[in-house]
Amino acid sequence: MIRLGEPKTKDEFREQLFKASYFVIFLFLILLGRVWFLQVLEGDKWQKFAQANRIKLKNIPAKRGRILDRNQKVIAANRPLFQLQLLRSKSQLPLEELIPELRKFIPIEKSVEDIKLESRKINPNYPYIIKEDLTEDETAIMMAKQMLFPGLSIEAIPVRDYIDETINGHLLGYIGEINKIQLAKREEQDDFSYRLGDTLGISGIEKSFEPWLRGKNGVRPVVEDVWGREVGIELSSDLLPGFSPRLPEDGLDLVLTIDKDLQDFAQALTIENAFSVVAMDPRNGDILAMVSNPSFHPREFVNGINAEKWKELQQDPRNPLFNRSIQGLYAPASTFKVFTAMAIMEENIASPDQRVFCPGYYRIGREVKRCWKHEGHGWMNLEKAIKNSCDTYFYEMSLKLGIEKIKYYAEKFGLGEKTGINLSDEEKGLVPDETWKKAVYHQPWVDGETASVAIGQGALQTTPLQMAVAYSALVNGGQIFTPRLALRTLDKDNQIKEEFHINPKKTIQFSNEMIEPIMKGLYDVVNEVGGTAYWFARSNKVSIGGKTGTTQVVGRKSGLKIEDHAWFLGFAPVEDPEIVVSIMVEHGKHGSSGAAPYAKQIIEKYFELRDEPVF
Amino acid sequence: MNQYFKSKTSLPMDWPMLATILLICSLGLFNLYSSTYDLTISKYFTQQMLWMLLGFVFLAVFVLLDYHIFYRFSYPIYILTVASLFLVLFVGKSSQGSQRWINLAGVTIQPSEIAKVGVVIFLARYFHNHREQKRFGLASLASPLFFTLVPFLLILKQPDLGTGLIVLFTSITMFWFAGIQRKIILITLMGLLITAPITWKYGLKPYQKGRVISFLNPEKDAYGKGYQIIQSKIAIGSGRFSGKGYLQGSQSKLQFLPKQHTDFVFSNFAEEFGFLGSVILFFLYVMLFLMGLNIASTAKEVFGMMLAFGLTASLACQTIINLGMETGLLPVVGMTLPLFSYGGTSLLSTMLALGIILSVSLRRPAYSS
Repeated sequence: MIRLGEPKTKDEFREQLFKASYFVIFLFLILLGRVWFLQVLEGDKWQKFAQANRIKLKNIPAKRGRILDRNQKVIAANRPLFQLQLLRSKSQLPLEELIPELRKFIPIEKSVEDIKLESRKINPNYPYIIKEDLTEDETAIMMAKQMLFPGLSIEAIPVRDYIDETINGHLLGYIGEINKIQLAKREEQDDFSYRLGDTLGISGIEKSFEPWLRGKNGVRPVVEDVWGREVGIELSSDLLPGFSPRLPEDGLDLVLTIDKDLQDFAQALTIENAFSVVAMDPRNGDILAMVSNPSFHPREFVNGINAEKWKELQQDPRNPLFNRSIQGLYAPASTFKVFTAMAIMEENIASPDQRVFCPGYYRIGREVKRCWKHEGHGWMNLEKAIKNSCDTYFYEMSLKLGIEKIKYYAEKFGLGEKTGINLSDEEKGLVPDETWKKAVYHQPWVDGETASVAIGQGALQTTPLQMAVAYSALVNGGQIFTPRLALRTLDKDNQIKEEFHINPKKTIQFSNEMIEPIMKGLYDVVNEVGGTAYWFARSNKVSIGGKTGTTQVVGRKSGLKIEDHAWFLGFAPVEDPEIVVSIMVEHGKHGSSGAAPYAKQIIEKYFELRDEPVF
Repeated sequence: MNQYFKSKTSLPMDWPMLATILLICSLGLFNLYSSTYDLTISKYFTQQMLWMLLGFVFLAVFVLLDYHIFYRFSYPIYILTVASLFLVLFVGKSSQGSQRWINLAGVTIQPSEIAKVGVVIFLARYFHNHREQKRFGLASLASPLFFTLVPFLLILKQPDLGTGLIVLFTSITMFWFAGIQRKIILITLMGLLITAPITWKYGLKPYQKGRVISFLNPEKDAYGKGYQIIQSKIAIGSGRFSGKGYLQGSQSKLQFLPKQHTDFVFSNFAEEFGFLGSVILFFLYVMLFLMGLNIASTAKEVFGMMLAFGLTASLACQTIINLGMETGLLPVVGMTLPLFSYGGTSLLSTMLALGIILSVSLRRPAYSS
């Protein structure tokens, strides 16, 4: 037994214990007061809640901002989508009985088994969507019959609505429901603004301009009866101050640089092959049209694409999911010669008047490189070499230049790097040189390759957009722009919220004497007899300049005809260019016949639209 | 060991207190049946019944055990407590973002629950040994304070703010009970005022901050964290004077009430039994705690006094904080209502504490009443 002494201050302890007892009683009296307050004084108020109760928080989806063209013509808007939803926890009928009952009023495509399987994956306290897109009639019928079926409700959700059938999915992109991975990624970056089931832009402009287009969902407290049906009890704010509805903030409308009519026109060009068109304003870098064909319609993705359609798109040999304008890598062929020409003059390799004789081929060591015109061009100066697209002239000059100089000027014009357009998955292309070859092929560079690159062939790779940016710089006095896709955002009162500025990226210095013979050559291509595009791009409406290109294609692709790719880089008016068109037609055979006529059509359309009276 | 069981008790069993415990327990069980009535898992009721039976066995063992054994083993108990708290941080089982459990030979235990009793035993011995001292100054409080803060901080780290606060508050009341100098109280208050902003900034987890904010202004965050508080208020308030009747509480039956069978179990009770029911329940709890304090005041020696006082204070603390939080008077911290909430660990640790209190009661000198 432990020896324990008698406490010495027992009375003092007792006094403390009395205090403690009073304190306990005091605290419980406070609690009792609180309960009295809640249950007796405020009881009726809380009772109202409990009765009507069942306050539920309903999401009010915000509308996604519309997408408008530069003249504010609507490209993508919103429409209400009516969903037939079922709260299983509130439903009284088993699905086997409920679905046949509903089928008496409206057709339901899904089988009872499928519905059972799917709905089981969803918490019974969350709505399960029985039917996605009710027609107006179906909505009306179900609104009337809804009260017969506890747990059933009809919800209107704003979804993307596309005005045209011919919309280009590559540029516009599509939207979809956020998935768990995307959600987790955003939360990792401390972005908690998305919830499962929210919509977001997944590609194209919808993705790039997500922060502006997306609104903020609202919350509305609704009072529901025991069966989950909304009852019309007004939740006055003095009852429960915090439960005032939070209205959704709709997304901002986005005004693009795109001219919808020009875009539609380019989209509708009757070209059998896959092609890409980029139309750009060389004065500010605005993208006026950007088309990659074949394409897909973003509508196919609105409610989640079905597996079959996805497979079809993916397996299509013409690759409709591939955005050729920014992802397609092609040798620019003769359209590249202007940059070689620039190098020749800047580096003082030859004066513009210095001539080279073209017998139809050029000998480099033991290798014979052919000019496209086998019978030869005869004597060529710079201007004529551009006009006739004479390869021999550039072969000879390129050897004096060397690959490093060619690369230097190509990169000055933005080739070999991303243009920085606000679209994801842009390719940067390739301007080859000795180091590149050594790293990739472990072989030394040979002069023949320099000659190939000088005429835009060989390992050189560019996207149609890059070429549009480079030609814009050529014709605007040396300004490389980061292409601009959107002009501004508008709020719902059509007031400007934010302007997107033009983005000059860098300036290339060159003098007028340098550019003049090149511009003359580009004018001749279209407007002088013998120019490669004389029969194809000459217009009696506007003075067009430009350059053809024919990319040598080797190898074959099963099931598709193999021809050379056709390029045309055009601009107009030559005196003060307002538009640059970069068009590339896969397997289009010749730049002259396979691409130039379309560029001409687009340019003429542009001026027709420009001069059209505005209503 | 046997000597502790053999030692004769000087008084018969404290029947009124046992009766109070039984009454609260049966009300709790009765209420639990209602609060889990609609839940898909209907095993709660039978499970809790088994826990209750085990709880009373626990109670009986500790009543029979002479509490002086805790005096002798207070240090090993304390060391075991702290060791298990350390262990839980490293090998603990995680649940909902915190590590609170360890698995010992197939039995899952929650060291923070043991700490609630362990710290009381430790402090009881300390103050017993220093019973000559009338009022404790800074120097003599330093070591008990240190031995309190170690388990407190370890529990906070899990994180389990609720249990941590009980340990802290219990210790502070024990300090007060043992007698402290006025200036210490003043210094502590000032210290709290100064450290509060720092604790707020660095000491609290985001979810804990959220709870405090939603407590201060539940309406501001009515859709998020304030939801729990508001739904609890609706449940309690709508019970009005006489309640909706047994099994008639719509708030809980329709599952608007979160955690209606654990932390928010009183809301379900108050909804169905109204103000009258609340008064009865409060009365039972007050009776229980006053009896506990009475036992302390008549205990045989300072150790027994401190022990009974500390354990009563701990239970009272938990009860008052839980009720305060359910009625919207205090911020939401995870805390169960002793003898009422569902859960084996909580019940057994409560029974253990009550068993020791009763053990003190039985071994009081016969002359005191």
